[in-house]
Amino acid sequence: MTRTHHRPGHLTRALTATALAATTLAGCSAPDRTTAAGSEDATLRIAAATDPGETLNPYASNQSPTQQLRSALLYEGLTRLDPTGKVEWALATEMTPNADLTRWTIKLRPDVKFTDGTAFTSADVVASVKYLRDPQHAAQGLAFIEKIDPNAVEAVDPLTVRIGLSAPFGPFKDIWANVLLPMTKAGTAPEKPVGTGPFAVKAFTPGRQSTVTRFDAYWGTRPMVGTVEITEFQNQQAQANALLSDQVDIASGANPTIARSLAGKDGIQLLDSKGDFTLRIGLNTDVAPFDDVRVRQALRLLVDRDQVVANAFGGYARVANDHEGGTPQCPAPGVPQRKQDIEQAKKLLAEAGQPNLSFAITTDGLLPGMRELAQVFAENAAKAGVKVEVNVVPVPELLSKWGKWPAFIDFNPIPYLPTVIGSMLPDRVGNATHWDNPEFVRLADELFLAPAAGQCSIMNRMHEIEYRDGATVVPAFVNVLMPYRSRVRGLVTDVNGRPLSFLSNVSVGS
Amino acid sequence: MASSTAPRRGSPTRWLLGRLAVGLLVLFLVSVLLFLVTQALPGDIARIILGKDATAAQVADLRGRLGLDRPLVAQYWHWLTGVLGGDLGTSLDNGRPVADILAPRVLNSFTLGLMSMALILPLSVLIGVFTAYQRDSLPDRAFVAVSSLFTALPAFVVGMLLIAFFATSVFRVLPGVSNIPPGDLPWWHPAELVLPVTTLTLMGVMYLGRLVRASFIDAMDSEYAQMAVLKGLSGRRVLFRHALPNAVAASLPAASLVAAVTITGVVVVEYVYSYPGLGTELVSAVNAHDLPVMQACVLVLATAYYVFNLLADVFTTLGRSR
Repeated sequence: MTRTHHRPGHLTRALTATALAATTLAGCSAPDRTTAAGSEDATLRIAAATDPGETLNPYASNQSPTQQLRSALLYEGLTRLDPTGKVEWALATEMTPNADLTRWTIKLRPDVKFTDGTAFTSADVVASVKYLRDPQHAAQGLAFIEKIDPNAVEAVDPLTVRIGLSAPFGPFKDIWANVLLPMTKAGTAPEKPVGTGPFAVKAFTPGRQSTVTRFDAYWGTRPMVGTVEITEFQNQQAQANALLSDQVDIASGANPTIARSLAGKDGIQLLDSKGDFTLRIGLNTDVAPFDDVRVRQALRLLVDRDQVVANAFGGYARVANDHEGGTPQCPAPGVPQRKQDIEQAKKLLAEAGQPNLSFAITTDGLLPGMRELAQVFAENAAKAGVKVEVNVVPVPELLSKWGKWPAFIDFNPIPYLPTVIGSMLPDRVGNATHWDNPEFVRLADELFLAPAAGQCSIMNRMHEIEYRDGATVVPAFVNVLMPYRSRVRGLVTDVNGRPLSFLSNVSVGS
Repeated sequence: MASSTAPRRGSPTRWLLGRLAVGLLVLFLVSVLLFLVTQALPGDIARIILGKDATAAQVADLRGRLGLDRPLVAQYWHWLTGVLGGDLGTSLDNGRPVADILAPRVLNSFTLGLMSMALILPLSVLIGVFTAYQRDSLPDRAFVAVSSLFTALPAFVVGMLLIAFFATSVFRVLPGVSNIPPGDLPWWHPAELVLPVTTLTLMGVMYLGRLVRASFIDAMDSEYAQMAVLKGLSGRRVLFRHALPNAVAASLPAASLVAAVTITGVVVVEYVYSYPGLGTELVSAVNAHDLPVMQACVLVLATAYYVFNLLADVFTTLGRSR
């Protein structure tokens, strides 16, 4: 295939370069990469899932967990979530609304530097917000800030930004904690984005490996490791093998079976983040018979939640109650725990005229437990004579018919407020069930205007509506599992399932 | 396999040119087929890149920018003229030039393949000759039994067994994954190469060793070897001067085929060991529907496969014309 070319192209150059590199370096040996374990220059080596399409652009659409893991080390938002799920100040120190919540004044943290040494100012915030708000960029976080009027984003002084909204919105501080909405230096995104995080990029090869080093002028707590190396693998078993043979310190992806087999083996421990991460069965309310709430309730009554926890998630989960979580700051909503009730389910199906219901649940099996959840559900449903077929399709196929599948498996890793905005209100792309409950929408509007103290009671009333009328079967909250070598100290579990965002107290011993 | 295309007496150059032309035609057909297959894959690369949160308008816009809204023939023609001009295009998935992505991986894969072949050939001859010479002895029977077992096992099973035995479960002496960091040359990491090379070598020797053994037994039983023995030549002389060259010549086409099979083995072995070569890149590209990367990987692999097949034909023909 290369014989026929007439002019030097990419290929020729690359091959020549390869050949030259090979001949000149043939005698050389590998560069010395040993790092002083136990010292403050130590390297933390993380195994992650491969993502050949990844970039350094934190505003890219469709970001993989691997890209988000790296972004959390490089970039920061105006606010952030702590490991218990509480929103705290990051690059902003104050947000004050006007009387009707349509204009917000943001005070920025002084003396913050970008990793290239320049000062972080209001101009960078304005540029970042405008970039995010531009629909042309297809930024994944756009749904969360759609109320921002892009023409009303202005720098008042170097440390003050004013943002005008198209509709009143109260929980402004919460929204900015989303990992998809970080601040970057004006003019650097999307090609060479520069952030203010505790680490800066040293090397990056998409789909292979990235190396980030500590940024010593970071405004916050100085990390205890000098370098973080993220190596990407094509499957979780390879991550486990790399951990077992001491080629990495942490495997960031492990299904329950792998996690169980590794934990306790030769100094390998398990970081078990219990949170409100949901895997759920979505039922498309545009499609009969799922438009009938009796059918949806019947299907929810068919699930044996304890069996789902034990079999689909190997015990690394806890029973859920057909509503989203993500409200660790609030008391539990006062709804009784739904349990398997085959007789009641049969009765509801008969009432709905669906005594011999039969349908398929589609899943791409992207996350551990997805396929297993569908299988356990199919087994449970059979007890009421409901025939459920498990339809496993490749990721691209699931995406290509997104919003059209009658029943499908979906996941949600984020807190409740952005969940509502991104995937529970009608006409959201993320709302593939097309669920539209007017009372829920009204409460959401109320939530957007409520002071912080009143939010919990509104969110619990919204949970009640989900429980009563919702279009998802939510049988369990799933733990996020990361096996690691015990010489890594200071790791913390995170209710939002991103424990590797909190590396400031992590050290690597010898 | 070469019987139908064997050269007519006196025109080996023409025969070779013919074979090369057929080869180019095959590569062309492979590329067309691959192009058509990817069109039939469910899902749209623009949707894969943008994810479920993107609107239909954003997806359509990206399709336009990637040139996916043009007619199929136009897309293929654009790709083909690029390749013929030495430009493999850019990855749809991450926008990097395909040649930049592939160059280090080609080097990694070929290092793996060549190191394995460098071990497979001498070891096969050695073991083949030894077991044939010691026909029906205990070592011979053991080799035949073990090689039958290996021929039945898929490469990834052998790979996983070796990982469990040498890296993760029994002994912890070798790395469990063979990651070559970007920018490094594979031979800087000899420990990482041991298990993948061993897997390929085991698979190759178990197959080729048996063929050499069989050819050698044939050669030793042949009339000319028997005659040499009758003429009173020493056993060693018969072995090395008469039987060995003939046995090796008879095995050469098979060796070329083993080389071709090793190329496909590389794809599987790379995946098992997470070795950054053409095979792992191909798997990623297929998952991401990244057509230009897929096409380039397959063309490199198909070319190498074809070249070794051609060598097998040439050796067969030479052997026959002798």
